[in-house]
This record gives sequence, C-alpha cells and structure tokens, in this order.
Amino acid sequence: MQAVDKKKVPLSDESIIKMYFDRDEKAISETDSKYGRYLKTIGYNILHDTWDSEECANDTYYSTWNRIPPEKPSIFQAFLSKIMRDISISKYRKKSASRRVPSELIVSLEELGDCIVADASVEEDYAIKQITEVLNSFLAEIGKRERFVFISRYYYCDRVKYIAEMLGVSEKTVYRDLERLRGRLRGKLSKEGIEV
Amino acid sequence: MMKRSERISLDSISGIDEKYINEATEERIKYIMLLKKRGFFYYHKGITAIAACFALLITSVFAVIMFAGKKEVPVYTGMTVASIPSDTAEMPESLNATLTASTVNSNVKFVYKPVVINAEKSLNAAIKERYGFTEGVVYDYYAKPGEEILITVHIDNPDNFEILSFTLNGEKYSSYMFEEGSDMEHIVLRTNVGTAQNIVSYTIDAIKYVDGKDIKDVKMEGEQTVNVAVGTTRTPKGVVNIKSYSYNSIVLNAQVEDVAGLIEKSGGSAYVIVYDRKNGIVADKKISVGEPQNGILIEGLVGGKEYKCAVVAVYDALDSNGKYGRVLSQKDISLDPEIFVDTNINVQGDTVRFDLARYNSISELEKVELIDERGNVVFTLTGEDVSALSFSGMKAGVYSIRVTYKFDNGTYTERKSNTTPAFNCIAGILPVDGEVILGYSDFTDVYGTITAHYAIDFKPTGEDKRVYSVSKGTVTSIRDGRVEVTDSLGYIYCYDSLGEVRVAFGDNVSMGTVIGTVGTSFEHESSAGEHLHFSLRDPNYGSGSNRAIDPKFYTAPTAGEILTPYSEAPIYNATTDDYRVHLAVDYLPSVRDKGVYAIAGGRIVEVGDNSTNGKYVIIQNTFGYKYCYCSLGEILVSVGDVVVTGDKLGTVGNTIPLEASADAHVHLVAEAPDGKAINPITEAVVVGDA
Repeated sequence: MQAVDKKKVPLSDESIIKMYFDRDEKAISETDSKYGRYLKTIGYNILHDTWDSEECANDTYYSTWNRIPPEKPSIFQAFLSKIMRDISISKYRKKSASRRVPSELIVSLEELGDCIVADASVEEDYAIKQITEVLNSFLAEIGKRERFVFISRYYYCDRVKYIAEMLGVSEKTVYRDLERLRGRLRGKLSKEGIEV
Repeated sequence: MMKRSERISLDSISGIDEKYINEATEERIKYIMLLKKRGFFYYHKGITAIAACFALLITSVFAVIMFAGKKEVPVYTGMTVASIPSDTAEMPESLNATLTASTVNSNVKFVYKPVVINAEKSLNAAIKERYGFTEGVVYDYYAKPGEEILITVHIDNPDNFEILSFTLNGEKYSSYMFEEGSDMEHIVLRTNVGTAQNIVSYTIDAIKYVDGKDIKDVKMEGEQTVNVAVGTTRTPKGVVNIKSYSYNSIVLNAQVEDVAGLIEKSGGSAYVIVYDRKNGIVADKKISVGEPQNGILIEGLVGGKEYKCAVVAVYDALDSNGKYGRVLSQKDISLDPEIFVDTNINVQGDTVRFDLARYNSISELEKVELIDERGNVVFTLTGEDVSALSFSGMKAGVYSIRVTYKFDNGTYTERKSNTTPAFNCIAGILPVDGEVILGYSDFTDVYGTITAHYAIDFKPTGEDKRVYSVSKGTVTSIRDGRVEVTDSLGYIYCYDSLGEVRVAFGDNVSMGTVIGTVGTSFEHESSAGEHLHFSLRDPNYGSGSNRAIDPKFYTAPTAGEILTPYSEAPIYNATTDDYRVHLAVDYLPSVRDKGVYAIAGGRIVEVGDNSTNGKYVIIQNTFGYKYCYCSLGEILVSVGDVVVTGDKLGTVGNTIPLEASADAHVHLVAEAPDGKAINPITEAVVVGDA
C-alpha cells in the first residue's frame, strides 16, 4: 500500500466507489489512504497484533474489490468496517481455537456475559436468533448516543477510554453508561423469556 | 478458545441490524473529526499529573531524611495468578498503549456464570430442585488445560533490596528467570498449568534477597500456596433410548461416559429420569458410569401422558460453578394408547382403503368393522385380514369404519373404539336410468373433438329423464345447468348439462334424490343431445379442475363387446366342437385398448397359468366373492395386491385351451362365497348388507 500523504485531500466516497465500478485499481490505494488506519484500528481491537490487522485490512480491500460492483454501499465506511470486523473476528477465531487469546473483543464479551447467557440446553443457533431479535428491539428503544456507546463497545470493541475521548467525557461516565445499558438489556432479555 | 456464552454473544452482536451499525459509524466519523480538532491532551489532567509527581518527590525526599540508615526486611505478602497479557508493541497512534487493568498482573478469574434456571417447571428447573445446586469448593483461580499463566509474587520491599531467587514447588527460580516487567516488589513467573484436568497447587517456599554482601531470607507472611483448578471441555456425555413401553411403564437403555472422571472426582452421580411438565421428575434411577445400562424399567406412569426421559449427571466441572445436575441426553415419549383410522380414507368404486394410525405396542387391535348408515355391522376384519386395510365389494351406500382396540390401563383391560366420519360408496349406482355414451378417458373422440374427457356421459334409455344423486351430501354449487354436491369427505359430485334443476343451494341430498333432468346445457357437448355429464372430484388428488377422477362405473372388464354370454344351459363351443355350459362371460377387447380391468375391487389371491384357465388372476373381495379373469395375455398384478374397480390387471390373451379357436378375449368367472358360480354382471358386482 502507498504511504499516506498527509497533505493529500482524500477523495469523496462516491469518487472511490466509482473507481471500483470502473475497475480502476487505484480504488484500493485510495481506500487504504482514506480508511486504512481506521480499519486497522478495528482489527487491532480484536487481534492485538499489528501484522494480523494489516493482513485483515488487505483481505478487506480484496473482498471490497470483489463485491463492488454489483453492490453499491450507501455508507462506504460502514461497509468497510463490517467487512474488516468480520474478517478480523474470523482470524481471531482461528488464532484462539486452541488457547484463549486475550483481546479487547474478549474483554467486551466478558462484560456482556453479565446479561447474555443462553440456557445450556438451548441450541446455539436458536439462542443466537432469539438474542439478536431482542438486541435489535433493545437498540430501537434506546437513544442515539446510547446506541453509539453500545455499538462502539460491543460491536467495534473500542476501549472505554477511546469512547470517552470521542464523546469528550470521562471514562467513569462511559463505564456507568455501559453498566446501565447492560442492566436494561438484561431486563429486556429476562422479560422476553430468555434465561439470564 | 471462546466460551459458549462468548460465541453466542459475539454472533448475536454480529446480527445487529445494519441501520444501527450505519448510524453508529456515521456518528464515529463525526466524533473522530471532533477528536482531531480537540486533541488528546486535556489541560486540567496534565496539571493534576504534574502536581502528583511533585508531591511524590517531596515525600520521597522527606522519607529519605527521616529514615536514613534504617532498612526494613522485605516481607512476602502473597501470590496472585493472571492470564498472559497481550502484546503491547506498535500500538496505533489513535489508541492509548496501556492495556486495561483486567489483564496485566491482576487477579483475573475466567468468568463463568452458573445458569439461573427458570422457576417454571422446565426440565432444568426440575433437575435443580431434585439434585440441588451446591457451591462445592471454590478455588482461587481457574484455567484451561495447557494454559500459560503468570504467577506474581508480591513482596513488601520499601528499601528495594535485590530479590535473588525464590523456590516454587521445590524448584528454584533465579532472577534471570523472572519475567519482563518484574520489579523488586512484584516478581512475575510464567508457567504452564499442564494438561491434566486437576487442581494444581503452587507453593512458594523461600525467597532470598541480597543485603550488602549477605544473602538473607524474605519474611514469609502471606499465604504460601495458591490452587488453580484446571478445567476441561471433556465433560461427561450420555445417551438414552426407549427400548419399549406399555401403557404405564417404560424400559430404557442408557449410557454415561466420563473420560475426565469428573463425576467420580467430585463425588457426583448419574441418573436416568422420567419427567413430565406438570409434576416435574416423576421417577429416577441411579446408574453407574461407563458401561451401557440396559433394560432400566420405570413403572407407575400414566397412559395418555407426554413424558420426557433423560440421563442426568451431577458433577463439578471445576469451572467455578460448583456441583450440579446437567442433562446429557433426553427423549420424548407419549404413552397415548389410542388407535385411529387415518382420516384420509380413499373410496374408489366398491372399495374403501384406509390406514391405521398410531398402531402401537401399547394397544392390541381387536377388529375393524364396516358400518352402514343405520349402524349395522356390514363386515368385520380381524387378525391377518386387517392387513388388507380395505373393504371391497361394497354396495352403493353410506358407510363408516370403526376400529376397536384393547389395552391394560393398570387396573383392568379396557376396550375403546374410534369411528371415522361417514363416506359414500357409489359403486353400481348410476345417476340416470340409462346407459353410458362416453366414458372417462385421457384422450378420446368427444363428439367430434379429440380431447380428454374426465367425466362420464349418460343418456336415458327410457321415459325417465331424471338425474338422481349417487351420494349423500350437500348441494354446494348451482350454476348454468350444473349442480355440485359435496359429501362429508370433501368429494364433489358434479352433475352437468342439466335441463331442469330441482334442488337448491344448501339442500341435503341422499342417494336417489332427484337433482334435475338431463339436458343440453353443457355447451361443449351440445351436439350429444340431451344427456348428463357426470364428474367426480377427489379432494386428495391434484388441484382445481384436474381433480376429476374416474368414478369407476365399470361393468365390463374390457372396452369391447361381449363375445359369449353367461349361460347355465349348454351352448356350442367351437374349440371343443360340443355343447357345454358357459358359467362365465367372455369379453373382446376394443380395437385400441387390449387392457383387462377389474370390474370390482378386492385382493389378488391367486395368479397362475393352467390348462383350465390359461393365464389367470383371481380377485377376492372382503365379502368372499371371487372373480377369476382367465385367458389373459400379460399379467400386471401380483398376489397380495389390493385393487379397485377399473385397475388394470393385464391384457387380453388367447391362453385358455378350451376356447383357443375363439378370438383373443378375457373369460370372466365369478363365484359366491359358498363356491357357487354366479353371473359376474348381474349377480356379483356389488354386494353388501343393504
């Protein structure tokens, strides 16, 4: 990938997407230039390894090249983030197949262990389906800022400190928000009959 | 390695609706832009940090002045265990390089939450109630087999003496073996817990430090042993199968395997249980672990109830959740004793076919009866005869089928019966006093047009132009010279090309009720003159207008003419050149169709080839009447087959030696149950208790 030129103004998302449609290979370098660092942050949260994050970012560009066209993402950054996250999690799963590998991902999942625990006798796929439905319903009920905090922590695995810095508040505030959200989610899951 | 709960959480989070992810991502873009403008450095935090450092410096100087010359012996205060921290090299710029407190040098336990069981009487709730939930021994730390851990030795060492070595589990660890990140108050050692699923103890014996030229012992005040419970994923496995059951008991086979020996190590047990939703666990038996346990009898159950049987193991998995019962395998079982006749009864011609549902090992079938409209038993099937699953040879009428069975209800032998809804048999009953002018066919000349004719056309032969209902049912449609009557099974009898209509929508009709008169209202067949266009739709067959099935108004085994009639008086036989009785009817095939068809339903009881009959097939109906189709060419059925009116049995041949000089034909013989030969057309076709 090309080194980031700090003086260069990044292209708009529409222009970059158009380059994919035109099968212009510069699309990938432009994507890396604009979003590379951001994507590697997502990868690092999960993998805690720079080289692995780099590798996943490259896989993300490859996947993006194959998917656009025919897909035309409405929010390019979200599109890339999702692919990067999926690839990073997949890599993490392989890495941690035989041993427990510490990761911000695991820390955030351990937090969620407060409220998301499915009955051991329930089929995993069925439990996932049930819980996802409740999660989406829960996200619909809470405010935009709360959704942002929840998704940053548990979807993107951002550290609490980073979320606090983005919002311009203290870490304590973010911890408190997360605890409150988990409490509400726990209540909702219980109400829906999902054993917690 | 991810825990089950983590996998579930991760996959659930991954399933979050895209719109929320998009919204959050857009917010991130905004916040990141703000962050770049704001910068990482908060002025007020910097001031606090500087002030704290200054205060520390002052305090240190003061301490040096106050305590110069007086040194304290280091004191061991205890050990802690932690997981291996992540790699902190080359962090991205936008993130702080410090790991959170949950990893490095902290007392981390793997968090396993015990399953909180729903208070409703779920199977798990019942198990908890029965086998309890004990905390068991709570260990200091928990790890997985093969896990690398960090042990931190904590020493109160205000004078910062150099720690030379310590002995752990009898092994000496010198300073060069201390992990990176160790200091003189926190010595970190990396070790592997091993692969045995066990309690691993780490005991620190002695710690040495350097004081000038002397090597001295650190004072030991803290707990010197920590225990790490090394758990396993090789939890017990089990299987349970139902070997047999009666009205009030079940016999089970079960097996529990426990390769890691968790049940034994934690003083637990394995059980086979029977559970019902209302009462919880109604029976249980302790079983041993390892070998298959067969023939486990559980008695005292109630017939007609739904149960679950399961194999349960009670043990401590050394995962911090304590000892409790877990279901290893379960199966559902219903002790419902009833036998039903399947409601998809199929009526064709003079034959009704049925199925016996829920014919199970609890109940014993006694008999299956054909009941007429007045409730009289027309015929009874018992024993082996039931396997025909049909009554053939019914006379036109309304019938039902009743099945009677017996079972042991725990006190006495109880008898019960189930009866099907009533159904019509229309065999032998014609809707018009006349003859068939055009039959049911996929491909024929329909009054000048070659097409399919999924109906039968009748023309009156005498003065009576009336059209009669062939079945019991309700008038469900009247439209343009067409009346539809639907019976209780959903069969639709359609009378088309009517002149007059003499019924109204919703009328209940019986066999013989006058529907109307023949006419010419069916425009596709107006050239046929006054006639009835009759079709029968079967609710079980096809859809829409394609549901018209063959009503099976057959009275002849071939499509051709009669060659030689039935005669009890001797008639001339050209083959034998003499006069002899002809207790049969000979039919020629038609030009196009050489097929031989059953004139009535029944079971094929004999197929053969001999000098009397040539190639032949014998059909016997439920009532004991026999039809022998002789002089066949090809035979398409086998002994045991159940056929209905109109089924193809084979083709016309010339195989009967005593009629060899005649044209190829089928020689049809009929016999009453007493063995007496009867006229197949006039005496034998449909019988029954009318």
